[in-house]
Amino acid sequence: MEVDERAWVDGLRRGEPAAFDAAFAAYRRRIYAYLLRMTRRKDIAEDLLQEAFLRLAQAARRLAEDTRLGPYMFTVAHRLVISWARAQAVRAQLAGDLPVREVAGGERSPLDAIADSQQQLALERAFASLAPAYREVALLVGVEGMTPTEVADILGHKPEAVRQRLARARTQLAAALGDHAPAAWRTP
Amino acid sequence: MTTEDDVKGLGELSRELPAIDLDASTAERIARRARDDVGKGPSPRRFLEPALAALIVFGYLVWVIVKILEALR
Repeated sequence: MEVDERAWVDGLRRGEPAAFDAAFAAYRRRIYAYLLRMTRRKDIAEDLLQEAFLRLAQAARRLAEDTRLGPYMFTVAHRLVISWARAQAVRAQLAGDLPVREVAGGERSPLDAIADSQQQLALERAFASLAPAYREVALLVGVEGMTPTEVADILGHKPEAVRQRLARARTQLAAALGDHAPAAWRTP
Repeated sequence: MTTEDDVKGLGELSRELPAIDLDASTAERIARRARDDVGKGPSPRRFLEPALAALIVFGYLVWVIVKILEALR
């Protein structure tokens, strides 16, 4: 654990708002990017971000001394995404199996607006086209630089299951990106 | 293809993804809202609903037991 992070955890355990501010500044972008890419809705991503940091604030005094804030925050965010997805599924069923505010293929997603170039747009769309379970693993490994074992801890799965999802994500991304896929992924 | 190839390729792709951030006012609003709760623990309102449900179920059970005892007398 880094020195800064240990100090933040100690501060949070003492209920210090300054420690919370430091943790918020360090993790807000990463958690928000994960939430936005998982939900593909800005309003939902903002709500879930607020909920994730509220949970950190409320659990501050009960944090273990050796808590690693990155995995802790991504575990909370993952659970919030799961709850949101379940609520979406229930709502869809109640509405006669119609999709509820799902970003349709032709509709402009908030992620499209962020892309600066056609290449970035194609990449965002390729990630967005992955099934959520594969997208999540691809984001945590690719963007966050976590190992499959760390991701398995966050998702509550076995590392082997994460490796399988990773392989499927790679296959689908390679197919979606074609010539723009990393060289190592392209079949000769 | 190995897991290492998957990880390496995803790392390469992810570096090309655009940076994502909240606008400053939204970030400040969220931080302010959460900061107020630092160290306070979950709101008591969170426990109100299950407590009420437990009370109603318990009351109903007591009523059923009383009725059964009355019938047995």
